[in-house]
Amino acid sequence: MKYINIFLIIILSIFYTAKCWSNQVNLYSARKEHLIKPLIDLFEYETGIKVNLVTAKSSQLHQRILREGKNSPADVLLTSDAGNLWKATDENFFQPIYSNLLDKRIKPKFRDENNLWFGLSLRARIIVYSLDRVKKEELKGYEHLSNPIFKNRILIRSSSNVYNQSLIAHMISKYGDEKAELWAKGLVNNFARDPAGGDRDQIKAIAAGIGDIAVVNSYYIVNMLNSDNKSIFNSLGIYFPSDKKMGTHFNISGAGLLINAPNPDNGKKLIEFLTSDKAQLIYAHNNFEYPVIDNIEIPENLKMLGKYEEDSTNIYEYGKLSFKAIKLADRVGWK
Amino acid sequence: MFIFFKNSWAYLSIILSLIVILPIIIILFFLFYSGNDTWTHLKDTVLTTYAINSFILLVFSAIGTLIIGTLSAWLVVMFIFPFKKYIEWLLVLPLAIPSYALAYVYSDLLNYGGFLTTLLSFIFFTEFNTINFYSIYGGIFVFIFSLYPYVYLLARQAFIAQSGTYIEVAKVSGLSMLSIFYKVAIPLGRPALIGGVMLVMMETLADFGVADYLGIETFTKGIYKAWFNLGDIVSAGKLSIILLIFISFIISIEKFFRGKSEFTNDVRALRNLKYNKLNTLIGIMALVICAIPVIIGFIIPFVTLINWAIGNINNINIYNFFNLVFSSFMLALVASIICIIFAIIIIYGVRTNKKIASPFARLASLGYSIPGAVAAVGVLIPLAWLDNLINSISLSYFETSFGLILTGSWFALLFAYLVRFLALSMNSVESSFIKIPKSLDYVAKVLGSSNSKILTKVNARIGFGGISLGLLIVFVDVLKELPATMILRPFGLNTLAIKAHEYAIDERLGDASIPLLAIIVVCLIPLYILSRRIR
Repeated sequence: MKYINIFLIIILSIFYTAKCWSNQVNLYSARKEHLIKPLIDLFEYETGIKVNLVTAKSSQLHQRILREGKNSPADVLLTSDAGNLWKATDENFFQPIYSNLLDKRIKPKFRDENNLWFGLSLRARIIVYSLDRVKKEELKGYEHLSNPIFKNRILIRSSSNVYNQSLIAHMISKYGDEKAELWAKGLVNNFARDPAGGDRDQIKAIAAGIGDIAVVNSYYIVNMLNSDNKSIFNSLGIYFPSDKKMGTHFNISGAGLLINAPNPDNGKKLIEFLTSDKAQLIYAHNNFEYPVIDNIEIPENLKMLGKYEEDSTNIYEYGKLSFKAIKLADRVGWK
Repeated sequence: MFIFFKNSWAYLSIILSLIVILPIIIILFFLFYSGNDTWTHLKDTVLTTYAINSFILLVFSAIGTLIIGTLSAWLVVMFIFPFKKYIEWLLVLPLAIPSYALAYVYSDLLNYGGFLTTLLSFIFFTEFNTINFYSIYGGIFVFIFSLYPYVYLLARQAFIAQSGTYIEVAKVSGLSMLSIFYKVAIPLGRPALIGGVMLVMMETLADFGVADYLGIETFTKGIYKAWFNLGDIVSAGKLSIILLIFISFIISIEKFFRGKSEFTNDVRALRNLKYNKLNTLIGIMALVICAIPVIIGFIIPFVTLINWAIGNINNINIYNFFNLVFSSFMLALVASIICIIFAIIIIYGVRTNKKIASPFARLASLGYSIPGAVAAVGVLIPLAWLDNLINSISLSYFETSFGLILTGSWFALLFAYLVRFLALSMNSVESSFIKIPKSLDYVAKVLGSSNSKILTKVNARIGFGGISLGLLIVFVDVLKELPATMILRPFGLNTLAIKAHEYAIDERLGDASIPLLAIIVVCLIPLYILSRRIR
């Protein structure tokens, strides 16, 4: 008999689905839980709406939404990078949000042209360089990085990383297919080593003398500045690439309301909340990301990185080039 | 109808195998859809590199784990040397550490300013600034030292079960211990050894976490790229088929060489092994040989993780953390029970009628070589279809919707674990059942027992070691599993592995260390129980 009890418990636990709350919103997030949790807690506290969260990689959430189809429980998809946002719009995942608040607060550059998704936070793809071995005047924007004078000096992670795919896509939109491919080829020729490790590893590799210039994400720099590794930066400089044609490239995170959302009103509320001053402050001060709203006070350690000139291209314009970017990287041998 | 009842176990075995094979078949179906140009693109640019890298990883991991696993098992089973009692248990422990955690730890220790870099510079009087662990060598290192316990466990089990008579006969015939090792013990233990190495190879092929973190371009990464980055499910399906054909090829080679030989013991001659005492010097050498994999595979990463955790202990929320531990534990427990039940039935079905049930069982164990994410989507497709069907039926008849009862609950996740990990439990059950002489079944049958009684009263009891081993291995593996859990988990279910992964991907290894330690500690409990049981 006792086996039957155990069996029943197992069966019940298998089919146990999340409790039904009357007032809830279901969030699929490609942003990791520890980054998004403070925002969710505040939203729940302020509105009394319960947020059910699932986090996974963008591509995995994408597959899940695709397979769940019209019965998908998800209300909001929160994902990072222009390419992923475009893929979601391309598969018709989102419904447009008509919100005066969002229209007013978020610049057209940082949202979809049909209001299918809205940008929420930004990370800059910038350069860290050795103060001993690189003169500041040598650095002139992204395009210049493919110049042979940097042979065996550049450190950057694998092209399988979405930050690099996004940068390549941005280059394609600026310079066209052929020129972007030549650029990438030149860049690969300048690599100090085969791409390996994460962004922090590129910075450590400068300190270890493997290369001189690392292309990394602002988020990791600030995180390193806040850790034991801080002393590394004594001999390192930070530079926001920009030249006449192209300003600094930013990776965006954004959210959209799903077309079959069971709780569309709450979903809209959640997205609006994420663009509020309070939420944007959390983005800046907890996660060290640049807010999408102009007048938000950013923390000291973000200010320390320096001033920058954003590129003017609308983000949705190069999101659609992400497939092209991946293939381009394969062709030029960017591992 | 009569035939069905006569062979009911075999047919039950086939049905269960088919359930497990279904997601694999679904993935293969994408072959018949026409795709876009991704396939040509991959073939022209990166596919060769991916295949070569995977092959190198596979070969060296297999050789490395075979040597370490077999040698340490042999030493532990045959000899008495200092601390043997502890070493015997410690050798299993690397199983508790996820291979991706090993990759995190060693890449950090060998990085600029890392402990090992400093140590090596000190020992060799030269300046090592950094040692590039982000390479295929790093990958081989990680796989060897995290996966050798599979070979060790199965080999140890096999050596213990080998009748002492064979060894004694060999000794009387004047063979040295060394020749007994490779002339008697290895050939007799071959199914187990090959079984272990096969698991290592499948795990290596299916791995994504290590290759992704270390930046190794493997075949599985190619599948991910095609499917998840380039959105081309057809090319991903084609690549998966190549992977499966390759694995089936290796399996059939082994089957071919094994031929018709049977590996059961003759009961009447079954005698316990006698341990051989080693003199002090050789004893210490044996100790050192067995200690090296323990130190590299367990102690160094464990200590490093503790060290990281100490600095970050304030960042955790105790309540959430215990929730996390509890849900991970339950998930792994339920999954391992389901897997072992399937495994016992399938293997027993094969035992009662090898001819009809065996091919299906072989196919069912292929799932282990499929990358977790691919298996997850293979599970998601039929279940989501079923879910939507249930919903449209219930909508039209009852005007209510149940939501996603299969894909929105633990069901889909457990199904995916079953597809992925059945091979693990089948392997251990099989290698213990294979040792049980068929004559025992016949005796029981002559005495009037039904097949189910033979299973519960004879096979399951004698093969208990293998069954608990299978249970344990799946438990530990589910606890460490990442991609399938990420894709299929329902709202509110979070696991330690996911938590650790999210921090690690965010390059916050300090925060990742705490859930990783929790995984290790949770794994230690069943490992400890097991070590008492199988003694």
